Amino acid sequence: MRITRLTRRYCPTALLALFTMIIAWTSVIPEAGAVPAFARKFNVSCNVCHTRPPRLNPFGQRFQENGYQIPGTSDGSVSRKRLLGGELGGATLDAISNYMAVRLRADIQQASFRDATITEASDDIEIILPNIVNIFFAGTASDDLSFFFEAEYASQGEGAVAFERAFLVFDNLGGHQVANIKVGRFDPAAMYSFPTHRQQINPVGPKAETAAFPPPIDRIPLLPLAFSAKMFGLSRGQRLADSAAPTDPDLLSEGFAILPFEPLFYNAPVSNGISVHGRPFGTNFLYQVGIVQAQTAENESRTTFDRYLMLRYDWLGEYSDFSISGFIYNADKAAMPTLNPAGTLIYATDAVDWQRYGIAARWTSKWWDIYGTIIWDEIDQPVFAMAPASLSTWDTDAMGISIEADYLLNAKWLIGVRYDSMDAGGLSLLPPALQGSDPAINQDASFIAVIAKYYPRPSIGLYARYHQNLESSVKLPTNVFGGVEHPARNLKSMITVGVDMAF
Amino acid sequence: MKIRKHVQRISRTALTFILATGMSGTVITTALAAEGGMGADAIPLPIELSPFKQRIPENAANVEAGRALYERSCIWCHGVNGEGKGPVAYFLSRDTAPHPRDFTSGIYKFRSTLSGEMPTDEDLFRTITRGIPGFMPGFRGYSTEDRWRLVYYIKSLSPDFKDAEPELIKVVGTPIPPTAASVQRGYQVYQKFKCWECHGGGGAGNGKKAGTLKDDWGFRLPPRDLRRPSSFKNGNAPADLYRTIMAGLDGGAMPSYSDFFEGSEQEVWDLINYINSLAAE
Ligand code: HEC
Ligand code: HEC
Repeated sequence: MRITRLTRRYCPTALLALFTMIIAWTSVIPEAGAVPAFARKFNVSCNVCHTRPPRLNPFGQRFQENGYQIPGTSDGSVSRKRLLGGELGGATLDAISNYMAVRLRADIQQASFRDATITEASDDIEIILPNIVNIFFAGTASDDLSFFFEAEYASQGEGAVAFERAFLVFDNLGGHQVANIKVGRFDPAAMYSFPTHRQQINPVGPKAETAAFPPPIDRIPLLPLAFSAKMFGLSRGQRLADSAAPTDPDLLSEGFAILPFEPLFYNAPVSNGISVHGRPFGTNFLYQVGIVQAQTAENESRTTFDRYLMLRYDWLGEYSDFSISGFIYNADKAAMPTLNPAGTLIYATDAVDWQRYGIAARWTSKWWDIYGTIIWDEIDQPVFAMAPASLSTWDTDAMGISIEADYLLNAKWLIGVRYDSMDAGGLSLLPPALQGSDPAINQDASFIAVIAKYYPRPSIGLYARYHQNLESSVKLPTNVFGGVEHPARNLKSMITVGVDMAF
Repeated sequence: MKIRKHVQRISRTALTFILATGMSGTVITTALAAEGGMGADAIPLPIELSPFKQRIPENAANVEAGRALYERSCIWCHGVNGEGKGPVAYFLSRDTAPHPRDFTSGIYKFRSTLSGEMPTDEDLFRTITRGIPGFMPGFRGYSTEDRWRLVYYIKSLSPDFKDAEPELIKVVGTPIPPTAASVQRGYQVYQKFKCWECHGGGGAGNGKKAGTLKDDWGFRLPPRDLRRPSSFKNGNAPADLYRTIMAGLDGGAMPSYSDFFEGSEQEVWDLINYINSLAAE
């Protein structure tokens, strides 16, 4: 991990130097060398599958659904390139490059805060090189058997959105697109009309501490807020706390606190489980059902299985594809309502069940790509055994919206805008005895982001983007969130320039 | 403005087979050449194994079956009605050619037939099998029968295929060894026919007309960089290049030279050796 902090004085030169380097570098990479695995394997441009990387166009979606085989076919073995030493099953370098790809993301970020004195919340420019590196090894082992391995190295802060996928897909069981079974560690939302992974405006991870409660959040993550947990005052329960240090809330284990802004459940970056999807009735209707492993927030250690169902329908028109999706996700005993007055953790009598529902729509038309989702969350009413905890006020409902529109100006330039808002739930008011008066703890958040992206090659995107907090002008008493600025307000804006490329 | 020539078919089948498989004369690289092996490293197979021998009847049932396959595989680019208006069209090429083919237009690039003629069934079969480098994946994953079904469905989208008896380009000679003398002769031909006006002196695709070319649908169409044979849409084996040069790529800006080579078809093989000598891959 290399995090370089520069003070403002040096930044223009450093910025310029860095970008000159990146641009110079990208222009010397030979064209053929800048095409990732699947494009190499089929000898086509990235844009056969992507509106612009990393987003998939309708053909790319079907390619993915079909286990990295050309839609309509089971060409897992047919398209395999010549292998040298065939009898030995050996692979040549040429063949390996058809399976392997590397994605690299690097950023220069400058954030601006209301209160920049909070530990990590600094207005300084941060150059993070590289920010995220992913190495993929993906393809088909034979007809209808696909694999996908991804190792990710993320250098940014704790709790950064980090995922590593590893799964197998058994395709076309029972007939073409009747059932495809995915087993392993995967992103459940891959086929949703607003998939978690593929954002033009890449997620920027939070700077937060999940081993303390309430979690100090120095910087809210910048990702589609619809996906986030949205609930304040929830933890993963006493068992996790006990595993570290039973009494000292500063020594809780990592992941104890549920960040209201972290992506969760169906929209989690990855989950371990099994999913089945298919389009058994022609090409329009898609189903997906899955179960994924979860730990309950109850006191005793117990693995449960969260369940989900997603249905999607596509309409094809002239130069366009319109899809809508809806999902239901059920998580039993997923979270423990938790309070921490004066350094002593107090838990609710029961972990709460959590339901998540979402709908999403996407419309690609000519050079437009417009997509949005609304996700609702609902938890059981927390019950505390004793006053004063029992006098706390909780919202059991929360909702988030994310909408993005991307527009291809020409072959090389894309501009986009995204709006996110989150109507937060969970802990609203502390008990009156514990200074629990207005305003509420579960403050709403909303952001707008704009991006301009330049693709010198189809697989290389250079971008500049800007996030503006739409709520930051509202001043809150500083005692509302652990004595510091509320995280939903504190980050005023952020400007980022970076590169997202694959080869 | 389609010029349709109806000429007697003389030994059509034999000729079609040679051109469609990317074979020529004594170079017997049959089935696999059509299967998309790019000529040079295709494995010679006995002619009996040619997929073209396994043609299935062109009837309503197979056209209908072809439509179902089309809706799974092709509709994303070629669109619901085959007019090339699929949702991927503008993402694939935002403001340049090519856009996915409009199958109702009856205009085809990758033919073994004279300019203005319809392609042969084998031409379509070859395109579907191999795909189009850069723009369309190959569909080798479909069985031979299914690929014929796709051919029949696509033909059903244009009335021009009805009763079409396209005239094939004339094939004279076979590929010749790329000797220095042959390459030198090829260079003369390249100069004589002003290929450089579009493709540039070194074949880099930067000739003086390069910036001005458009296809029949009004999209800017850059000439091919002849130093990159793996990007040749019509294939890069000698027999493929012969087809490209003699038949031209209709609907695009690459002209047909069959009239110019009338009587001196041998020179095409020299020109091909010259093009191959430019390769920088
Ligand atoms: C990813 C997009 C894409 C898909 C999917 C696709 N095509 Fe194409 N196809 C194209 C493009 C682009 C062209 C035009 C290339 C050019 O003009 O240079 C084309 C051209 C063609 C041609 C015309 C070749 C010629 O001689 O002019 C045929 C035939 C064809 N496609 C058949 C099919 C069939 C059959 C399928 C489905 C099995 C299919 N295509 C799927 C993009 C696609
Ligand atoms: C008027 C401009 C022009 C002239 C003159 C011209 N070409 Fe082309 N050529 C093109 C264009 C444009 C393309 C790309 C066509 C397409 O993609 O549809 C092309 C493509 C090609 C290709 C690649 C075909 C493929 O499979 O992708 C070859 C080979 C080629 N030309 C050879 C020649 C030769 C040899 C000559 C001279 C005898 C010549 N061209 C003259 C414009 C021209």
